Amino acid sequence: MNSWPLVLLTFLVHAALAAPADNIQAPRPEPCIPFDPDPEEGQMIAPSGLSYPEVKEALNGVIQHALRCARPKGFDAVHLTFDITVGCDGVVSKMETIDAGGAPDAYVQCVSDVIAKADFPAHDFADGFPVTYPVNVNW
Amino acid sequence: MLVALAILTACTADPPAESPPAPAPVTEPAPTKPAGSIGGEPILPKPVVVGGIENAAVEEVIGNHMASINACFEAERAKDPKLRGKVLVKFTIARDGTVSGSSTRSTSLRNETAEACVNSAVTKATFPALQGGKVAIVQYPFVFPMPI
Repeated sequence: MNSWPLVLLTFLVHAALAAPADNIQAPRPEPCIPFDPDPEEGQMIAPSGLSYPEVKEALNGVIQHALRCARPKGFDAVHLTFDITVGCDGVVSKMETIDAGGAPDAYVQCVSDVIAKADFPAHDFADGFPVTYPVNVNW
Repeated sequence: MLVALAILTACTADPPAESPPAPAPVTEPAPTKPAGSIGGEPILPKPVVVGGIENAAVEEVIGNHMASINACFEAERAKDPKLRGKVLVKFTIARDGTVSGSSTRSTSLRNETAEACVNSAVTKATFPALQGGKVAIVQYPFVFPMPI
């Protein structure tokens, strides 16, 4: 029996049923960058955290995967807002949905799970670096 | 799905002996791009300043205009007590310190009236003349309600 179409179909079914976040490799934690203020410098020194390009690049690296989250019925557009805390090891340590835009929980969770896989660089905010991420989805 | 599997299995049963199966070319399905678009601009907790002006000078001038900027939010919150969020405003400072343009780069407030008002208030600010270059570009995150 020629079984290749069945194998292919099984593969496609699995790929279709997998959550979009499952297709993203989990980021590897990096060593935190220590914040060591030098009092002899005689000026206000604060940890620098993450730069805008670093944050943007990390989020751009995953957000397109969220387009594979099943479109909620009756929606042509969704506006979501997430508060993301990026641990000093570059891995998302906390995700909070600030605005679900009326979308179903399952959809919001799907997008949230994708964003949580973003791979940020390590930084020197010991308690985590806060990022607010408004996301606009249009179909 | 089960029906589809059953049909496909039936279709792929051994063919008659007189026609041995030719090796079938295995073709990977072309990756399909999902319909739609998705994206957004993150809002960081600190302003980003590019150009010939110090962050501290930007902070000071914006601080002096916070009353009028906050009034934009409070006027809208009077209509919607649950209103809260962040607005990332991008503005350009000309060489003489005047603001030549201001726009909303990202928002979780999602209140166009308040956002237009904030942009208008920022446009009225005057910064120190630039130390170099023709323009400075600032991305400033406003948090509403403002932290005490």
